[in-house]
Amino acid sequence: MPSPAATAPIDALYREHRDWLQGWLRRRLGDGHTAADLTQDTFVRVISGGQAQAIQEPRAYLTTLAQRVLYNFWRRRELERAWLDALAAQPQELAPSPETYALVREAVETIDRWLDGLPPKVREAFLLRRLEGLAHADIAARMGISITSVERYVKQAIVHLYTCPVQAEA
Amino acid sequence: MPAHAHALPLDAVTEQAIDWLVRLDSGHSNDGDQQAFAQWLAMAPAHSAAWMDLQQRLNQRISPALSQLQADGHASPSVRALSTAAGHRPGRRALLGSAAVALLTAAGGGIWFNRRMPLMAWSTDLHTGTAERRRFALEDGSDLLLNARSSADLYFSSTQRLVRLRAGALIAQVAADALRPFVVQTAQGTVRALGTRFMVQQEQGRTLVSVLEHSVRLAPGDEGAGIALEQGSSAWMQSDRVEAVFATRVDPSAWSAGVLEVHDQPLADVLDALRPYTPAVLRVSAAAARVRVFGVYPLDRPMQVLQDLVDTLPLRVRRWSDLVVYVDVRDA
Repeated sequence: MPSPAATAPIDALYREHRDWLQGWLRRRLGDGHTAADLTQDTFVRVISGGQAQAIQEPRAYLTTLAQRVLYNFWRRRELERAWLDALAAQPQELAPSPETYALVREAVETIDRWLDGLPPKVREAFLLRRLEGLAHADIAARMGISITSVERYVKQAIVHLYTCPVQAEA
Repeated sequence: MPAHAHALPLDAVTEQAIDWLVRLDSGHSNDGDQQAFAQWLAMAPAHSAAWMDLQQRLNQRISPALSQLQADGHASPSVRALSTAAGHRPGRRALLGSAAVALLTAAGGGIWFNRRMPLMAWSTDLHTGTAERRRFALEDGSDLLLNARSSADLYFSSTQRLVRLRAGALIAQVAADALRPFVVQTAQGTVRALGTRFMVQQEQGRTLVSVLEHSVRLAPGDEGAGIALEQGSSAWMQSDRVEAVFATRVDPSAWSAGVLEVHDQPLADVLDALRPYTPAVLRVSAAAARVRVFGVYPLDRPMQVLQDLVDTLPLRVRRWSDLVVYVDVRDA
């Protein structure tokens, strides 16, 4: 529980700049609802950043944080659309229920974050093995590469998963 | 976030463990690979430590999410969406229409593959000692993997294949034989194989059954047509009823790979799983028995597991000689 002394600057920041920040986000998103959500997310980052007292230029600080929030939002939406496009391209019509969909979306985002920074072919080889269960020879045939390359890619993905530092929440 | 900006170092033994994982999980590994791997694991404690650490980290990081997407209909779109790096995805269409499809949550964020122990011997009266897991090839082409301190009798004839599990746990890999049903009998009832692979564990007053492939039929008290149990499910069988075990991320058959996997389970369960792997008597106080435990532990080194638990949980261990170990909560 933060002490009153620590929360006071955040309260002030929130009161004085919330409407301005929400307007800033709305102009970029064209959507008031999402702008309100992302304003909240941005203030959550202010609180967890713990630097509210030291801020010299509050609006510059808030927009820096808000840009990160926006980036993550767009990235998640892009990922979601890519997933839904791929789903629509399947022979069977398999639209998940909203509950299922929330779980699937969360799992897709988690994997995306952990694979962040890996080249597309490495991601594909690893996912064909781990999600579709294809053997290395089948992956090689599917991707038009050698089995040795498949092994190298799968190893690269596992090394990355093992070594990359604990990820911040998006 | 640039994920490799502060990448952790990768030591040589961990890299070897990763090479083994890639080789064994290629979809093409054979018995020779598995034997070579078993030798590598046994060669040095650092090898098995690196192996456990690798499994544990992958399980913490990505395995539950991968399991979530292995359900039918989700794997393929996920591969396609995720194979494209961020910034290269087409953003064309808006959102979904919702219809109903049940999510078959794949049970077990689990182990990455089952380490098969090399085939050793067969006998009509099977048993294993402390800390010994053993695979038995049966004359009909089936095989049984017995957990430590387990025993089973075989009653095979021209009309039946009956395995009586007297203690411990087994995993049956059943060869098809239309004329002779394959049945495992415990103190509480029978498990009839309709498919190929399942686990049966005899506990005090009850039997745990877990279906790894296809399905089985449970008949408590050996009576009636029985209740079907499907792949990925587990159930407790008592002499008069069957109770579902609710889906968890834990794989009850993980012992076959020498692994104990627990997710929010009481310490008492962990000690039950360790007992067959140590000659020591493990005692636990009532308060300590309730402590919740998470993690993946090496069954083959039970004292190491106890040490890990003491290091990470508010527990302490007292020993009287090497034969009695008492686990209690640590005073605040």
